Amino acid sequence: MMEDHLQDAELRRLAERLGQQASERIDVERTADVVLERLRAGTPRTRGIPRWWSQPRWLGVAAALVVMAGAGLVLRLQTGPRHPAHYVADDLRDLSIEQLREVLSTLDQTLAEPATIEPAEDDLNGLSTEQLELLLQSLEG
Amino acid sequence: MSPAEPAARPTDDIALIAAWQAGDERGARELVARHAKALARFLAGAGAPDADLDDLVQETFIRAFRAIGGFRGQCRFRTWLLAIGGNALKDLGRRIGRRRVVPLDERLAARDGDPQQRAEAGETEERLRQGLERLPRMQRDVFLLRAQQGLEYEEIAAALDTSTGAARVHYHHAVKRLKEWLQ
Repeated sequence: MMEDHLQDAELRRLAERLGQQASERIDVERTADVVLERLRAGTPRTRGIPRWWSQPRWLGVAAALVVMAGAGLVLRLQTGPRHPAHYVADDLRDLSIEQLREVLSTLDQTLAEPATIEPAEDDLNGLSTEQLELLLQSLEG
Repeated sequence: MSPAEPAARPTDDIALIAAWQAGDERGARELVARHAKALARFLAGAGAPDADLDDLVQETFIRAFRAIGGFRGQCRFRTWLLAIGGNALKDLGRRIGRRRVVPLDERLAARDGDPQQRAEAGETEERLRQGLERLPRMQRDVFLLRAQQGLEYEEIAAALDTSTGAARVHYHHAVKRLKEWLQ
């Protein structure tokens, strides 16, 4: 079995022997063949001057530009003036000063009204917990 | 370094790496020829299952060649390769979730000396393997790089991305625990 006092040299000698037989079974030529074959089949290594479009940072920049352009287009389509402002101006052009003052006062009244409808407390009291949670979710969007 | 496997001169390896990077596959082939067996010994010592040893050696070389641009000569190519092998073994362990099982016939395989001595030597080696499996990975890798591969602490530290002092401490911890385990 083991000596009572295992020396460092003995431990090293044992360690050197570890895996010796297993390593002898490695077919070096075959290993090299398989490695090279798999390297050829995998992602090609970049040699010489790297292609700029294959660099991850450029791919990232290109993707960001596409996203920004798409978002801008969608925003423009959704919020852009469907009825150009000059049509409104044309409608107002024929009004007298008194008529314009009347239109403005109507607008002031409209804007002075509350913009949101607060749920009545009585209505909320009748809701179950689940319904309240649903309402909360809908209010939070 | 093991006497049976003289270390390749670092400059030679650098030249082979340069040849491979320039597209000459003979550079890669020669690097495999020089270091495959040492890599296999390290992996087997670190607990690689016998059945997976071939695949692990191949996988390690593939990882190394793909990442060759990251090799800055901070240590020898072999040392860098062994560190990559340690990572590949760790990944394999995660995938298969099992430890190495050494067949009895391998443990008691023919060696010089009488049958009784052979059996005792096989048993001791097996105990050492078991002890290595119980070590934290850093201690195990440092021990193998030092005791099995004969590397200097500076070289080990560079390969494992640690300090020389820490490598020494890991080695001494490993030796202490292995001695306790074996005695």
